Amino acid sequence: MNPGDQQHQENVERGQVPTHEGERAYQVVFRAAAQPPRVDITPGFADRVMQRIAARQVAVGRREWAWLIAGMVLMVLAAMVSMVLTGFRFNLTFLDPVKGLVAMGIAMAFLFHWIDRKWIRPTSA
Amino acid sequence: MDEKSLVTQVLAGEAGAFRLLVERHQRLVMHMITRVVDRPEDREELCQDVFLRVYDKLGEFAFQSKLSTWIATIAYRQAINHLRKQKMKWSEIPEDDQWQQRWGMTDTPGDLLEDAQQEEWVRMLIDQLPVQYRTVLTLYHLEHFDYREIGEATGMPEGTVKNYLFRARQLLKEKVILWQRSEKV
Repeated sequence: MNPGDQQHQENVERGQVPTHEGERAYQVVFRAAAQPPRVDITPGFADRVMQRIAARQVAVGRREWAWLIAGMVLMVLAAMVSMVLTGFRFNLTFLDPVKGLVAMGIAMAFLFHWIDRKWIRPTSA
Repeated sequence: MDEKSLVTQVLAGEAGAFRLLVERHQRLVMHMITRVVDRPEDREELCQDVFLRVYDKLGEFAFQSKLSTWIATIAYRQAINHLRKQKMKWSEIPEDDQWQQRWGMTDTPGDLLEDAQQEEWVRMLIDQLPVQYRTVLTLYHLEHFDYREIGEATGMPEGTVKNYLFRARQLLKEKVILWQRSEKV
């Protein structure tokens, strides 16, 4: 850096009255650089951003539903193909000795889910 | 509303809060994009893209810098990526003598100029500087960022920021002096 120029820039930045040709030129430069570019925000810019976000969220929501449905259909198809290929038949008799335990597990799952929806989610939102 | 509350409200899904965030920072983004991207028809969409990116990434903002610095970082990257896609030159600061000769030969206004016109002419010169110089000048003089914040926004070391700022002002000053001397002759 040229020390003379550096000194001139610092003097102008401190707001000193320019006494040198270089300082006067720097003053013009500083004033011009502090001016915004000619192009400015057009009215309704924030609205257009919000519209794009909303439109994208709708598109993302549709895509998520499409993937969910496709996944479920594929899962059912895969299960049916597997059952045909392996000759699998539903047989839940292995659960007979622990019927009560299974029933209690299901009841607890419903209970926790209900507590979560009723009490936990509303307070953490 | 302070930055932290604003960000918290946006993350909680309040659309009004994000609109406020856009309104607070739209000038900063527009100034940065305008100084980097020459084609006016690309600017508005790019500015919108910056805010979509801000919306997507806001959860990652950890308040380690000011929100404006973080948004400026996104705007700068978005603008540079745009230049890359358009295959426009941006990466190298033309330090070679050829560029400086060309810069020295750009026209000076022939007629006597009023102060306001003089500043307008210098603003046109700013638009002809390399992208990095323009960005540093804009962030420092227009947005009042300090060297560290400019470094964060652009990914340049602080020393480089100081050097570019000094060099950009010096180049402009030389043109102003040339013109002022020609006025006196």
